[in-house]
Amino acid sequence: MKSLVHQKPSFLISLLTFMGTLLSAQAGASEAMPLHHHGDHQTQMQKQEPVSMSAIEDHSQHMRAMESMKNQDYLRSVEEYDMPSLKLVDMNGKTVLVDEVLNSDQPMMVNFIYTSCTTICPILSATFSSAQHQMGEAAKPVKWISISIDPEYDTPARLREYAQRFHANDNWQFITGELDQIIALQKAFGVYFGSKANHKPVTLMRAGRDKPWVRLEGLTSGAELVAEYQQIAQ
Amino acid sequence: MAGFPRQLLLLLLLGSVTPVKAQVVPATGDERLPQELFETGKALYLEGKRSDGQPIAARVRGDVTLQGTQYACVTCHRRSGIGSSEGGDQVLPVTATALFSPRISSLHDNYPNGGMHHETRPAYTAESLGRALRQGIDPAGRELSPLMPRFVLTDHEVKALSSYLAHLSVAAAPGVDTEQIHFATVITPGNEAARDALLDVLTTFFRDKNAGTRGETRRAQNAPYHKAWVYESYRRWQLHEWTLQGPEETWPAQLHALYEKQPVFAVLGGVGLGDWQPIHHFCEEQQLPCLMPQLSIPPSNADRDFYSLYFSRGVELEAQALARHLDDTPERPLEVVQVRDQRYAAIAATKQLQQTLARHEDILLKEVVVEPGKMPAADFWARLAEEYADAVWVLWLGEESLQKFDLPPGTAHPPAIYVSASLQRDVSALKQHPQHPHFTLLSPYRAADNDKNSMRFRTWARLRKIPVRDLHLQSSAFLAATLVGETLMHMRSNFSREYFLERIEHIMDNMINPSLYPRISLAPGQRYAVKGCYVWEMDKSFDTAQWVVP
Repeated sequence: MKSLVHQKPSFLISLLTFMGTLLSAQAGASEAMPLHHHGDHQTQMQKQEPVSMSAIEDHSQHMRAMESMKNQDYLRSVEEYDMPSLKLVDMNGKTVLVDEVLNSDQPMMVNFIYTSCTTICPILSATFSSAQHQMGEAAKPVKWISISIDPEYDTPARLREYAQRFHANDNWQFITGELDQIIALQKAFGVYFGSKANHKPVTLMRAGRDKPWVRLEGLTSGAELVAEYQQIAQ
Repeated sequence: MAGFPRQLLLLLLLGSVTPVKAQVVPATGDERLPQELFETGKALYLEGKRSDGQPIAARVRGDVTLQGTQYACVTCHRRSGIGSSEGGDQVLPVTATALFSPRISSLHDNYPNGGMHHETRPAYTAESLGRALRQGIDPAGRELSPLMPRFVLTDHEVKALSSYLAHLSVAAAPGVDTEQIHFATVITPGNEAARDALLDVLTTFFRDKNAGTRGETRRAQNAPYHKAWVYESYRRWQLHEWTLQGPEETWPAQLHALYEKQPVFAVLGGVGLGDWQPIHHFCEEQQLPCLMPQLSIPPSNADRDFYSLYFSRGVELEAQALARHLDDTPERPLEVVQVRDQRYAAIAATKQLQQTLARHEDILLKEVVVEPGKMPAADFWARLAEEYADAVWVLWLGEESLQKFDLPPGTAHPPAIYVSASLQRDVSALKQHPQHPHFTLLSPYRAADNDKNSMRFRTWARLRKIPVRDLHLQSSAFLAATLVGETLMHMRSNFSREYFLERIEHIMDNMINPSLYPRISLAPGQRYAVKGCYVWEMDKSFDTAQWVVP
């Protein structure tokens, strides 16, 4: 056995550049900043207050962004999604409308999984379990929903078996459906990445109908999920 | 996007890291590892079972507790130990070579002032492995990805795991040498016509593949480090035809003899109208990947095994889809007559439909058997039509038996006549059948002649002057061969048979699909790529066919 995974250096360089772009885009998103020069982050980022130059030279927001990245591995954003009109299938094989599932006036948590996923889905599901456990009684009025992104394989029977593995209660629903409907649903929530092997850990939550969605991208701890929920439930 | 750049960084760093060529040192330091230790480690890795038989327990992200066999190492690091990826998250390799050798970053040379130092680390020892497993700290003192669970393990269990990992993917797979990689295709008796069609595609594909060399073998000898790994993985492809003869009981011995003569890395394609179980079993036993043979009825236990991948469940899928289709019919029929011949696949299909429809107590199921080689009496079908005028008919008949199916003029047709595509050698021939406007075809693939997706294959074949004798068989074989090419490209020099299958599971959804199967998709543990089946009333255009997933 020899080398395991390789990339060409030229690819790496372009990836580095791309990362740089992302980092700056991210800082820009959190705080509106005029265009500025990123040439010397090493020293500029340490500054709390611009000393003599204009605000254009203030790079301290990068430092704040990086600090916040240290403490949390997920990204939080507030989103509005147009709810498409689609037909889905619940874990009992019953046809349900998106409106019934996702537009009820209950607080809800939604994630996207598939039962043969080996890497992130078992952890996403265990995180739901953990958060439910930590919330105790308070978890009961919340609707917990896991939507399969591999619907042709994840039949209602397979979803029921998966639910059992995570000791899911009645208020945790697993959803499947026809492939094109599930793809449309993923697109509506901005979680469609083509092949299921590209899928990313995303959790959506909202306090009820007509309330905005909070989108968490990345893995959270159970406590982080609970804290995020408490923030919107207030 | 707090998580995103981190993941990218991980991807970037992983991409740059090359394990140093070093001798694998079993981490326990024992001269000979006790078998018991190895077995304990194996049970932990593969089944997530601790030495007391309890499932493994761990935590991620601080407070998310994981307990159960689904958190066994194999889940993420996979059977090969070479790892996997999902989204931007990478699962690092834990093979003997990767783990027990120091890791240096080759990019370090390119970026002497950059931050690439931190992906280097010393070789793991049993002690540092324990720290990584329990606290998530690698031998260089850095924290591992938050995806990596922090496990509860005793010292003995860590030692056991270390002993198992010291052997993981160390030996090169049989069927590959420094110059060639060998494949076999298996032809079972009675498939001579299909054999020629299949071999036309495979031999031409192999010839093209080998002709496309850019002198990699020569280049590898003098390549700089950043090119060597590309060239060193080059192998010439060699195809072997394994034609089986005689009764099924003798096949295992024939397969063993052929394998003995020339071990192959994988079985690629093949054709069989009968029972494929002996070949399936042989491949599982030899830990030999077997890819996508063209069968009427693939073994139904493949998803409990590992080494064989199939396009679909064949007639069993058709039977299940039919049951589902009948369920969804507004006026569900109350009487179903299955007419079958005596071939293995027809018997299995009848049984499957019977089992699936058993959930409805009100459905009356009848079975009529057509004797092989015996022409049914002239009025056989007319009498059947009279007796079962209101029943739905399902003809589990191969083309020889189906050709004899006829209803005399003036006979009232039953409400529906279902026929099976998987039992036909050539579905397009069905359109010549005088009764075909009355047929509803059950088919896991598109039965259209002018199918657009297969254009890629048809053009390829035309340019190489290969007659398209069986579009379905040939375009599927072309897909399987292309899949092997893609997979080997991803694998580079990691010639592990398990990794080969793991990569296929991973890339299948993204393959350009020149076959007649509308959707092909796999994932870890999935062994049948096609999950649904068309139900097509043949008097209408194929565009009206319904796709039914049972």
